[in-house]
Amino acid sequence: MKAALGSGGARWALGFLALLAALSLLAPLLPLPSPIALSLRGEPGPPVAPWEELGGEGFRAEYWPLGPLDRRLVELRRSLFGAWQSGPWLGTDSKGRDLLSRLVWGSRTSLAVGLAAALCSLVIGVLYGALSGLAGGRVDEAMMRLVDLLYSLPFVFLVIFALALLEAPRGGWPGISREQVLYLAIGAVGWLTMARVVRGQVLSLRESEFVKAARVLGSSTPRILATHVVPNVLPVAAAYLTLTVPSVILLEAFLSFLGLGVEPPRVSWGLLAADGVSALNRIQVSWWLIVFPSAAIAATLLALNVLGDALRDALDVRGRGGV
Amino acid sequence: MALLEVDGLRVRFERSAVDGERIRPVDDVSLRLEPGEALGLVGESGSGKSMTALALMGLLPRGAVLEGGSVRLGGRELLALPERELRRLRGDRIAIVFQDPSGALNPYLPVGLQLAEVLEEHRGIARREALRRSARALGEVGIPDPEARLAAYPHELSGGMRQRVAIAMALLCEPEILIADEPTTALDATLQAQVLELFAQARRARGTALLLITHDLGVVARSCDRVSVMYAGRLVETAELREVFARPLHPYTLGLLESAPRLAREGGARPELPSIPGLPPDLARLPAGCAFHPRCSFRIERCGRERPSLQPFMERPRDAAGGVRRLDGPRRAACHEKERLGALARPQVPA
Amino acid sequence: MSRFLLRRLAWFGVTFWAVVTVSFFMMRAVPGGPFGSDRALPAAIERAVRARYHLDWPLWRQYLDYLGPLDLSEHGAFGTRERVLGGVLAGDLGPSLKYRDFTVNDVIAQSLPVSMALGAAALAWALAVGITCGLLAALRPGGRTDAALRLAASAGIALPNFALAGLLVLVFVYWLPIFPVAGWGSWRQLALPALALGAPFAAYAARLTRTGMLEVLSQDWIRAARAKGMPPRTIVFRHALRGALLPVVSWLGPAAAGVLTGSLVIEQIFHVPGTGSHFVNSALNRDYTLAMGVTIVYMVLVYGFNTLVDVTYALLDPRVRLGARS
Repeated sequence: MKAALGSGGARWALGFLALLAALSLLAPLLPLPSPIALSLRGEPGPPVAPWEELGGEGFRAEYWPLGPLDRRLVELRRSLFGAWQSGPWLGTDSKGRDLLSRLVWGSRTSLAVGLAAALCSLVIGVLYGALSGLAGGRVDEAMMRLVDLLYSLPFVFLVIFALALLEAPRGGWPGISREQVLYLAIGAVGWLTMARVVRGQVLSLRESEFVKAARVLGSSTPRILATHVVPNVLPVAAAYLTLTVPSVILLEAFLSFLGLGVEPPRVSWGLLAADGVSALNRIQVSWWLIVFPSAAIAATLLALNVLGDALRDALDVRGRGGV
Repeated sequence: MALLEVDGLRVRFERSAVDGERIRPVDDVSLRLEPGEALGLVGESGSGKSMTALALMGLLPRGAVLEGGSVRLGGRELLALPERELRRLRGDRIAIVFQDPSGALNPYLPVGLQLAEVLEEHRGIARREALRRSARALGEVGIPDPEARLAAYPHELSGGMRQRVAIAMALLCEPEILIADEPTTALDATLQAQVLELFAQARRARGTALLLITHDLGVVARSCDRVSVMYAGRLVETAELREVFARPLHPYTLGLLESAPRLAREGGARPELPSIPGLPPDLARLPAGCAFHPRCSFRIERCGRERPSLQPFMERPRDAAGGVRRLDGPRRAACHEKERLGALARPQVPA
Repeated sequence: MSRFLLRRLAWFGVTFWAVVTVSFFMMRAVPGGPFGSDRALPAAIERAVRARYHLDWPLWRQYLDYLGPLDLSEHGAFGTRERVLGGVLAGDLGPSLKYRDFTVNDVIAQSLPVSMALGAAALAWALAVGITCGLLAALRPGGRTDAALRLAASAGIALPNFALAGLLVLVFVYWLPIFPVAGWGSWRQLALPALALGAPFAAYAARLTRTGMLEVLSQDWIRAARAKGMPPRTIVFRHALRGALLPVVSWLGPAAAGVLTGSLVIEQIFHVPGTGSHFVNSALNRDYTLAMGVTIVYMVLVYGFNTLVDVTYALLDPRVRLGARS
């Protein structure tokens, strides 16, 4: 697998993603303006290059409720940088909020949704696929029929449907936060392909020597699952995971556009892109509000796709030869 | 001037091997084919026989590169021809039948179309007439109810029928040379015999020359006039059929003959199946000198140093009446010890 | 073939029923009703309106009425019906709860052709451009054309279509005023929405064609065709194309679903009066009948398209026998 990452494209992709992850995690530490601090400007401000305006005083520590680690980071930032914050390098939106800051903070949400939902589909998909493959025969057929049935349902449609319904106009669902519903819903969409892929892999593993040997030695099914099947299935699943995350992030962006995704004051890339698109009008062409969020999404997804392709290619070469 | 003259053909793989050594699946191979004769090209898997055939037709796979040599068809140098000219020759003057019958036919197209298009392309015949002739060709290779078969898809035919179709396809334009790459390997014994009979028939009817590539000496014995033996990409022996079987001049040839399974002889069944000691050669790590010498029972010190070239083995040509027998070039073998082998009549392998 | 189609139909019936039922009950289980959102109505009027739409009936009765195995209403929403079969099973999707003077059938009949036209345009250009590019890339693998096309394809997949739409509007409407910003009715108004909608599909089609073509070209029987002396054009178009396009064909089924979903967003941005906007809005407005109606239509379309794709696949690949799915 390391060999696959040797290819230039995959290295860039990995580097980019690592950088992104670092920025995302360290967001509270960076000397950026608050992502939600409103100003009195009524209209979006264009980007100002760093060499023209590097930054200024005026930092206000306004955030949505943060966790304890993040709060510490903010305090650390205050002691390091004081009231200094970066200038509007990428411009501001119609409420005066800094776009760069919102992009960095938004990456947290987008990446979190991507990972969480993808993990959701990974867990469900791997378990379902592995069980189905191991069980074989009628059970396997039935389980795959169910997958086929669900596949033919306009699932994404139903997810949107469900989310729109849950968007109660008055009050709301007590107990479940919007974000959690989002994770579950998106994860529920993605597990089907994973299940299919895993089942295929398990089917071929079943006929392999060591599983047969384990069976002969009397290992129980859950044990075989845990010690033999899952470790061999994980590489394939990981490769598909890197391809599921992009589609999940896209879905989140989609939902945000429809108003069904992340709720303000929280910020996600999808929300930013959506805001940018709706802000377009003839009088004020605020191009930065679309271009930068789009670029962020495109670059990240591109990197994920490149990485996923490289992983899949690497696995293919091995997989074709034997187990 | 022979029909087909191959001199010093060399092919190498583009990607170097582990130590930077070039891998040459075809290393200085020379052949000669007269009109109407059948030459058997023999060797084990990986000896370079198929690659030689592909090189002849300009069909080398990606990653294999022609390094040198000359191939002349009727005096015309093929390796220098532009692709467009080569295409005209392929399927028309020189045709090939591949080993895997399923591999030669497009699964998405009906059989008749695959036959007719050859005639349309090379002879400019219209579709309907081409189909008619294709049906006739199918009949000639022994396929029952050929007109109905034209609309069939390859997966609807049995393996044996597919191979016949492939042969019919190759013979459609009455080529001067038919190359058959392991045509019998994928078939059972009965089908093997039928296929070989088809080749013989084509030779009788149209004087087609045959280059028969195989690892099966039995097939060679039945169908060929002359034999060339390949090992590790190199040509090690070439001679008339009888001579090769009666008195091989190369230890590898001898080994092949010895290791062919035989039924019980006088005194009961042979207890063991003799085989050539050692392992098949790794083209990436060929030994210095003769490629075969590590496995050779006749080796001398020179064999590890100096690679033997294909040298004529001179002998007084004679026939039954004492007249000069016309040989197709002298017998040749690439072995430092060929004289020693030549002196023995069907030598036994030393223990 | 007919057995296959019958089985498909049966399966569709099951799916259909499942979707309708689940959606029906899910909708009514969620708080909020169709008539409370815009302005609070006096209680008496609200009761009367609800009665008119049978929203005061017990749920099971509403369900059966909607589905229509028995025509239970004394009089339907617009007059007396005396048929045995009513409701959805008779093709009547009911009145819209939000758009008071229209039935769901009306709304859909007005908007669906628009969406379908947009979707067809988007897919048409996506396939034409995508397949061509994929072919070009496959015929010169590793070359510059190949690298450029693969990059473009990856970018096409990596951008949400509404972001692409925004960028297109930015460039072609405001900076270079070539196209009108929104609306529907003329060819020029079709261009940008179809472009934005089709872009990710063009990218996928290109990728699939390229992979499929490379795969086919490495097969033995292509080598055999070359050995027969067939010219490259024949090999590509007669021998290779069919096999290469098979992955594209199987992908087209789910892709059609994607076109329909994608149109939700594109229609909003470009103010195209299609069915997409009705979908989200009807769910938000709790317009039960319209929401159900749109879902049903969507499902029928997806299912139909998938079946069409399967049939086409079987026509292209003679080795495939319908119904033998693995």
